[in-house]
Amino acid sequence: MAKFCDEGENWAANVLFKAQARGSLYLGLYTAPTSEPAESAALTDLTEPSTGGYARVQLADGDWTVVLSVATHIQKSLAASGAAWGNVYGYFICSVVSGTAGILHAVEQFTDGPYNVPDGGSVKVTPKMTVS
Amino acid sequence: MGTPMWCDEGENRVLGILLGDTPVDGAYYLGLYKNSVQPGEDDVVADMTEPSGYGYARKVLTRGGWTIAAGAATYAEQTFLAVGGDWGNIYGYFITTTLTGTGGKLMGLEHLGSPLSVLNGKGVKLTPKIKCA
Repeated sequence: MAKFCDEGENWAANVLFKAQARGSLYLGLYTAPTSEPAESAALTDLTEPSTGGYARVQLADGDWTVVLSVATHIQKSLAASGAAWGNVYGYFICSVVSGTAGILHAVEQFTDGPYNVPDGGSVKVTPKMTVS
Repeated sequence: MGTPMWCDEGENRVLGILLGDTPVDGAYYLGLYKNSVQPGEDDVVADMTEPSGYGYARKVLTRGGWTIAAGAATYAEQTFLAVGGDWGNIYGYFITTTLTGTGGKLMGLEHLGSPLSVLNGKGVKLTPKIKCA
């Protein structure tokens, strides 16, 4: 289960209670840090694969299912093409398709990771989030 | 005061708004309840017993009217006033998605540490605060 980061909590409050637009959501992978990022982390604290065709993918509104206070997105696959990505330690959800100027909503460290992604390999992620 | 809590319906709605395709709520509504036993997280608006008559009505909490700081949303103090009769003991407050009736979603509630006896001409002052952390 991905955990909300401080930036994401603040975004949630502003969307729910102020006039802030929600915006789009994007899924990315990180190769550093090797341990779970802190709740206070920002996009600048994460290192993503820089080669091998890596790009964040958009999460569509209609692809989430909310049941019993848990939101689950359909599985997304990110594939390395042309070069290896090396060890991938987890995924994150943010507000921008690229760069570090956006909001880091949430992160999750792979409990059975890292996944060493060779050229031609892929990582399949089923994003899950909860509030309680 | 007690500990504010999100209700199951509120959690599902928040996730639907933040991640899915549920439209954002233009306002939330603050109500009082007379249930002496703390409601459960799985309760719904129909489980809330509100004061009846004597000037009681839920308060409108307009989207945009909140102040956000450190992951917490705070609204200006709201005053409920009993007019023409007693309301009896008030045990807590709740936030829902509709101004009246039981058709809305129960977003969250707080059970007070001790009840407030509201007599004719007296009131209840509340400062709604919700943590998103």
